Amino acid sequence: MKQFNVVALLVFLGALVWVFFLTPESAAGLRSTFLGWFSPVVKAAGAVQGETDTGDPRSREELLTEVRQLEEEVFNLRFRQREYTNLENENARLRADLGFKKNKRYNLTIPAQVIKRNRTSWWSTVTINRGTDHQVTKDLPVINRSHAVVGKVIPNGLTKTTAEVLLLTDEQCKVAARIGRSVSMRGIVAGYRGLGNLTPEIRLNFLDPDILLPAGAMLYTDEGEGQVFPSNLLIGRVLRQLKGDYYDSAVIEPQVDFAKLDSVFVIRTTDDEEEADAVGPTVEETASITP
Amino acid sequence: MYAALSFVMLFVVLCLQEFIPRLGESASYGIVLLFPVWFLCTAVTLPYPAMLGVSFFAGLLWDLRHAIDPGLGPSGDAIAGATPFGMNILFFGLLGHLMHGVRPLYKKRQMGFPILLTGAGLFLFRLLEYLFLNFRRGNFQFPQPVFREMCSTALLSMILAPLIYFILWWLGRVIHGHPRYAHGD
Repeated sequence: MKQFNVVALLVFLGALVWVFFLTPESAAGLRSTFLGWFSPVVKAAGAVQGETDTGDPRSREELLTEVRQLEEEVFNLRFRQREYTNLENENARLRADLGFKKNKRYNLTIPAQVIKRNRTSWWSTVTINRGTDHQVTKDLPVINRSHAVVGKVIPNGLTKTTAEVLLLTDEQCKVAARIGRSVSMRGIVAGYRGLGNLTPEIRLNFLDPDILLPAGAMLYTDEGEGQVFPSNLLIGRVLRQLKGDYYDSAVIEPQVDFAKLDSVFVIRTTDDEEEADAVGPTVEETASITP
Repeated sequence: MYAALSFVMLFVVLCLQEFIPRLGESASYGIVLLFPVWFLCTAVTLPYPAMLGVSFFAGLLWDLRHAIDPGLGPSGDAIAGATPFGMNILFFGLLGHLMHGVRPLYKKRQMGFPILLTGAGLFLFRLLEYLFLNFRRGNFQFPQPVFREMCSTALLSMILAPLIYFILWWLGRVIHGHPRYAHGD
C-alpha cells in the first residue's frame, strides 16, 4: 500500500472518530443547519410529487359561506372558553392545595401542511411547513383534523420553516395508550420495525395477558409519565389480540390514513409557549397563519 | 478535477433522490436509491484517497439527511435505538473499499462484474442499516416484506448502474482525456 494511501486511511479514520464523538447537541445542531439549507429541495420535491395540494375546488360563494359559519363558530367557542378558563383556574388551585403534580396544558395548536413524505430511510417521517419561526419545538404531538394522533416532532429535524414529524407507524414513535377508561387495558403503541413505510398497521404492546380485548374497541392516548402526548386523543381501533409469553399485544388500525395526510396540527402547551417565545412570533401571529 | 466534481455530483444526486417516489406493492414497495448507487459507482472510478474522501462526504450527507433522533418516549426518557450520527460514514467507507476492489476491471472496461457488485453492494448497504437497527433496538426481527423490499430496491437500483458507469466514464474522458489515466493511477 502506498504511503499516501495509508495517510489518507488514517485521516479518514480520525475524521470518523471525531464524528462519532460529537455530542448529541452538536450532531443535532449540524443536522438542523443542514436541513435548513436543504429545505428548498425538500419543498420542491414535495411540490413535484403532488404532496402540497394548493388547489381548492370550491367556488368563492361557497368559501364565503363557510367563512361566515366559521366566524360564528369562533365567536361561540371564544365565549364558551371564558367558562373553561374559570374552571381551569379553579382546578389548578385545587390541585395545588392537594399537592398534585402539575399537568401540562395542551391548549394551543399550530396548523401545518405536509409538504413531503420521506421514503428513503427505514424511518417513517413526513416534513411539515412549520418550524421554529412558528413556535414548533421538539417532541410536540401532531394530530389531524379529527384529533387523532399523527406523530410527534423530531428533535433534530427542526429548521426555521420546516419540521420533521415521526409518524405513529414508526417503531420508535412510542405512545402510552389505553382502551376506554379501563386502568388494566393499558399498553404502549408503536409501529412495526422497518415496515413504517409499507404497512399502515401498528401494535399495542405490553398488555396484561389476563384480559380479553374487545375487537373494534377504540384506543386513546394515556398521558404517561413523560406527558409527551395529552390524554384522550384518538389512536385507532383494535383489530385482533395476539397472545404472547409474558405479555399480550394487539394489532391496531390507526384512525389516521397516513397515505392521505395533508393538513395537520401541532399541539403546544403554555410551557412550550414560554420556551419558544425567545425564537418565534407571538401566539396571535401564529394563530393568524393558515396552512 | 474529476475527484472534486465527484463531491459536487454526490450533492446534486442527494437532491435528486428527494424527487424519487417509492414504488407500489407490485415492486414490493422498492425505491431507487440513486444516491447510494451513485456513490458505489463513483467509488470504483476514483483512486484510493479520493474514494475515502467521497465515502466520508457521502456518509456525512446521508446521516445529515436521515440520522433521526426519536426524542422522548412515554416515560419521558429519551428513546434508545437511533443509529448514531456517523454510522453511515462507516458503512459507506466499508462499501467504498468493497467497490474499489473491482477498479482494475473498470479500467479495462469490463463492466459486468462491477455492475453486479453494485447491486450486491446496495443490498449489503440496506442490510447493514437494518441489522444495525436490530442491534440498537435490542431484539432481532426480519419480516419477509423487509427482505422483499431490500431485494426490490437493490434490483431497481442496479438497473441504473450501467447508465451511471457510462456517465462517470464519459465525464472522466471529457475532463482528463481518458479514464484509464485520468484518475490518479
